[in-house]
Amino acid sequence: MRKPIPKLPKKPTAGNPVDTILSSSWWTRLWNYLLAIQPLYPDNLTIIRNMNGTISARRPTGSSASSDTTGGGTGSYPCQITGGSTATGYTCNIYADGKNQPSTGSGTIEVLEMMWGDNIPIGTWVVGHSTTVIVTGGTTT
Amino acid sequence: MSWRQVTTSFRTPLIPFADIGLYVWRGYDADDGWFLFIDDGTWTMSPYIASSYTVNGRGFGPVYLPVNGYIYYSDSVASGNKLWAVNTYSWIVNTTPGYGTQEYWEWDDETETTGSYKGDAWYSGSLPVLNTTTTFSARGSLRGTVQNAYASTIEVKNERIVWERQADTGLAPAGLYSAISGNYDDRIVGLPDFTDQNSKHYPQSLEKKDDQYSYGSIHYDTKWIIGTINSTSGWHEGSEPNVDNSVTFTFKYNTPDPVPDGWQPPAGSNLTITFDQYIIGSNTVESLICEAPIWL
Repeated sequence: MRKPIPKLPKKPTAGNPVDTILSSSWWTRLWNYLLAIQPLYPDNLTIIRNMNGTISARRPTGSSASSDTTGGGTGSYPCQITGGSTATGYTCNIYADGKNQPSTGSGTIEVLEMMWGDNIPIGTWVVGHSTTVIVTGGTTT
Repeated sequence: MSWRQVTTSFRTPLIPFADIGLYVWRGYDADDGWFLFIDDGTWTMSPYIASSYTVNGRGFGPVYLPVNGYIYYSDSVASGNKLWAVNTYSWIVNTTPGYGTQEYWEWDDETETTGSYKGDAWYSGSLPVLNTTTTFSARGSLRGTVQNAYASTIEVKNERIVWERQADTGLAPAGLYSAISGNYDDRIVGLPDFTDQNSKHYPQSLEKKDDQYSYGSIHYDTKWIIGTINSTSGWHEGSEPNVDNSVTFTFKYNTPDPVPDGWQPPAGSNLTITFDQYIIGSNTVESLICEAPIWL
């Protein structure tokens, strides 16, 4: 059960905004608010949402249909990174029934907007959006 | 032996000569560890997106962090030299990517008869394109004692070995890829597509079923056939299509016994199946995407 989300601290007033921002209680309330709105809590890493509390969707490569701008997939699931890198792609366990339920399978996941040389540690939780990618044949052995 | 179009846009500084655009193709199985992308306008296959270089014989690998908008290259020794961009046309070699390019002339005395260049120790030149070498000139404190001259140079060589797509071997990016240097086997992107003399196409399936590929209407059912054995309209029998040689599918039919009055054999003729080209095809596979997480 998720804890209730505390109130967002009041916006600093025009009268004395600097003192308000510098106060530890203001920062504590802001911190508690940020913690509460995070969707997932990995062991030592925390993923935060964007400012709208949503994760933006991507139109699948090659698609021009406006309806595909919602992600093109059939669902979004908590996923835990189990290996790989940004350059080679990641493997993950999928928790379609929820993060606290047994894994429902495994798959590959592409992490958008990562620096090519940056990698996500094994164990990190992410929200995976189901989609399809084009696949074709290659070199035979 | 497969390639997937990676549904992503990587964040990376500009990579000289490479255009990874909105996506790259990533190899799996026999192509594991390989990438397919547009390099200097040509579909290119390589284990590396960026080139690697040697600077006076020392290997420099890419670092995907920006210096003036471009990635830079580093000696394997962390404290060693770096190769980094000033702009599109000029590159620097020194130990401090992003700065340390001061240079000025200083006379030794008031007679102004002798002097030398002062400043930082660095080299400048043009980044060599694939399989070429350019000369970088000594600059700053390395430049020497002759005005408007350079006391020494170093050689920067583009060392990347890539496979480039051969023309007329497929619908891009599908095709046969050959190493542009060195003695390496060709590599393949795509599925072989075959045609008969009637211009009908027979693309190979992505996966095997019952340990056999299928090729459009050509499939294996105790033998390689088109149609259904013992069909009253006839069928074709042949062998598995291959890219090296044409194969013939012979038209077959059963003649009833006894032959009814007015019976006519079904219409049909032999087919010659010939490799046409490699194609990407329309196969897809389920995958997952996610936004880059930010962790605290």
